[in-house]
Amino acid sequence: MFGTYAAVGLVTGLLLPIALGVTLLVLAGRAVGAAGLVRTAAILIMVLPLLSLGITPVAMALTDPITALTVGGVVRSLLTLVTYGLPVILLLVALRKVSRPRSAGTPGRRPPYGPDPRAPRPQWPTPGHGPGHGPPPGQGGPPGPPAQGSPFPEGPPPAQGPHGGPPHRPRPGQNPPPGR
Amino acid sequence: MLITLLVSSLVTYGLLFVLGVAFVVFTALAPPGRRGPALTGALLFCLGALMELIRSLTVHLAIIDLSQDGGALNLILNIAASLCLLGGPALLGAAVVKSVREGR
Repeated sequence: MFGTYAAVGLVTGLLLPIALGVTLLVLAGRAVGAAGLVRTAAILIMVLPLLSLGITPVAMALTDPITALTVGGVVRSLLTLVTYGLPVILLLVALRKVSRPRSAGTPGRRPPYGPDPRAPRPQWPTPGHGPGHGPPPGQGGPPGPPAQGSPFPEGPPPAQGPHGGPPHRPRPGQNPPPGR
Repeated sequence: MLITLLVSSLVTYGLLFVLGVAFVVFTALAPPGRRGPALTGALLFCLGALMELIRSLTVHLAIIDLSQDGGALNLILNIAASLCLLGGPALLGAAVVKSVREGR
């Protein structure tokens, strides 16, 4: 009977956790983005049962059997809580971390058109106060050379006009000029 | 000694059961296409914590006689509870890998 108890305790308390830890370590290589969490859970599942198995014999060696059984039972219960609880929490965090981009819930509002209102405003130059401080106006130049004459030569005298024509004769049908 | 062991077992497996229930609720709130093996693992974890709680209480309160048929029942409960408590994280890890693959 005790052999059966020992065998069952060995399988359920040591071999199965190690098998699960190895499985999780293999899965951690494929869990891109959450490999650290899965690997930590695997290590916890593999290491803590070893402590749980060894705590009662150590306590037996240190104190009397009654106290050792009590302390060993309490510590083993707490180790069981950490052994099974912490990896589950870590794996839940990993699952949430991995599935967040695709299960983000309802789609958000479409951003409004135009520039992003949250963007910083452009820095416009502030208007200056008063006139600018430029260089002083320049001095006047030296006096110019004397004026030259017209570049064209002097032309010929004006042409004479035509002589006057014959006296004006009255047209027929008009009265002759009054005589003297 | 008995009270101490009883309280420690009750607290330990009770907390594990509460964690399993939270695990089930968290997984059940996920979209239907993304529950997958995580919900199975959560239910297994809950069941394992419950079985271990019952086994621990029955042993500490001497409800079953370990030298008679109760010994076999204790062993069966022990094996089943360990398988369920370890199967939950395994299925949860599988759900993580599946979610990573679907995300690609």
